[in-house]
Amino acid sequence: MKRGVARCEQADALEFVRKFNSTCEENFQSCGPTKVWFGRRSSIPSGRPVFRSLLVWSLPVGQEFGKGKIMKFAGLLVMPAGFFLAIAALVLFPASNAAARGAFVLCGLAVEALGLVVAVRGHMEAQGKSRP
Amino acid sequence: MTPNLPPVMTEATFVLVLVLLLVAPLALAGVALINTGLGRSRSAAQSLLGNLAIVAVTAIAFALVGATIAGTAGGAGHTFHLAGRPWNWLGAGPLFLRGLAAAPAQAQLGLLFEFLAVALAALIPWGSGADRVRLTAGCAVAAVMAAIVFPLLAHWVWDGGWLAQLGVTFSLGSGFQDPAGAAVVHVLGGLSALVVVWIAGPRKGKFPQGGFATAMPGHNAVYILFGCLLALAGWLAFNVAGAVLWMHAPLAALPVTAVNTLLSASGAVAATFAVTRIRFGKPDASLCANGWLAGLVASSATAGIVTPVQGLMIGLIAGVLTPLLVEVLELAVSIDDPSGAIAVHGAGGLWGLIAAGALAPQAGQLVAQLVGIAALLGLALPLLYLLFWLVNRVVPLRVDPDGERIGMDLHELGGGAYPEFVIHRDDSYR
Repeated sequence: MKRGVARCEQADALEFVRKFNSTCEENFQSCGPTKVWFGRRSSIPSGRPVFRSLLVWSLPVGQEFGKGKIMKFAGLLVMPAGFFLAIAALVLFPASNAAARGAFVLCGLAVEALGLVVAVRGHMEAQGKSRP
Repeated sequence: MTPNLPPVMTEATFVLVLVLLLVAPLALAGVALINTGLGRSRSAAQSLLGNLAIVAVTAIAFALVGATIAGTAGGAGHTFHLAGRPWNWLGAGPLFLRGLAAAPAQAQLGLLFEFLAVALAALIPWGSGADRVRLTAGCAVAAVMAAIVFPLLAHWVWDGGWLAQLGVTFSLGSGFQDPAGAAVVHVLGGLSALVVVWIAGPRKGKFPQGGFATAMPGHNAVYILFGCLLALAGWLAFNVAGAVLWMHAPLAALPVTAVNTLLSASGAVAATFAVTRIRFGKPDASLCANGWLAGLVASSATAGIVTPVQGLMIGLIAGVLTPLLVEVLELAVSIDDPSGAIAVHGAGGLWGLIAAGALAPQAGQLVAQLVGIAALLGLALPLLYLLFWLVNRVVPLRVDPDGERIGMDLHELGGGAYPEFVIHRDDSYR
């Protein structure tokens, strides 16, 4: 059912692109197509209309893969970096330098906290879009 | 490197720990009742059956796979060397519990403790996914936890892994201390709950467009509060048995451990009672239950280490933090967690671990605890997300909208928990 909706939206998008290309091909830049097309996908690169059409076709139209999800994945990827920072503190600093060791471990935890905050923000972003 | 061998256990200690571990399932019963009571009436039977199924699935998955990964205290493990130090990262226990009857007493009891602990850990995300996570998906999530994530952490913390050895390898106090599972059970459970809630999404109508979160109170306060009392009995058993098994506490120290557990829970519920009384004009029963549980969770890390007064203070702080965090998660962060597990088990467990490090007499203990927390947040959370995301691709976590509308009992079991009563519809929350 979801896939059916996605395909339907994909067909609509293709139809829109076809019409858009035929009317605006000559003065493409002045039409400001990125503002008309799919606002949340601001990363669609510029290029010839035919490539744009292919790109739009290849993207998962109608499926939720917005900024929120990317933020969530980015946050989760940052978190292991914080862990390795904490481990590096143990390896790099001797036991006699307890203050530096503790500070470095805290830095690792701060990086993890940052990752968690980004992931939570990503969740909120995605949540806001999918509210009924 | 020679493994850190536990001292030989006397017969009296063996019997005591065995009896305690036979009482410990009361904690599972308590958490199961709390999970069910905090859900909606139209999903009550599915919720309680899910708790039962999860205990069964975790036992099977842990016996088949998890016990091998976890290994046993003083047993063999896979070790690599980095910066001239050994890092014991994976257990190498016998396959399918072979030779269990001939294993040392400590290893046998440790394994029984882990069987119960993994079931408790897997029940925590089930409560958070109430009213929308399917039974099959809940069992799949529990199986993944019992087969992969829990055994890995159990080996690191209890069975001579690199976190337990931090005291030897890096002169950090006595190494990471978690005698009754604040990290391995509760923080792991809280993080799993967060991931399940992220993947499954909120219940229908919980966060309407352009409005405040809809209040969906638990359907049975009696279940919730009786569950808290059952949980106390189970927690006392877990904390005392854990102190003997993983900290090698002498018998004379055990009554203080039990008193600390009780004081921590009491301080927490008193604090939550006061906070909710001040904020809402009247004490809130379900939040008080959450506070009580948060006090017990914090005591899992601290009961065998601190004095009674410190235990009470730890509980008081847990009791203040929990209701505030439940509110923040729901209203500010849009996380729909019906059982409050993320705040209770996740945050409560983290607070207990930090307090155990800060109040321990050994130098470097706090840093050891922080390294353990870094491992939980930095490795366990992304690993859980990856594994549950894969589970969701194979067995979708969330029920279809029609199933959510009619309730999980009718949709999944074909009959309700309360056939003679009128069950609430979505409109009744407006």
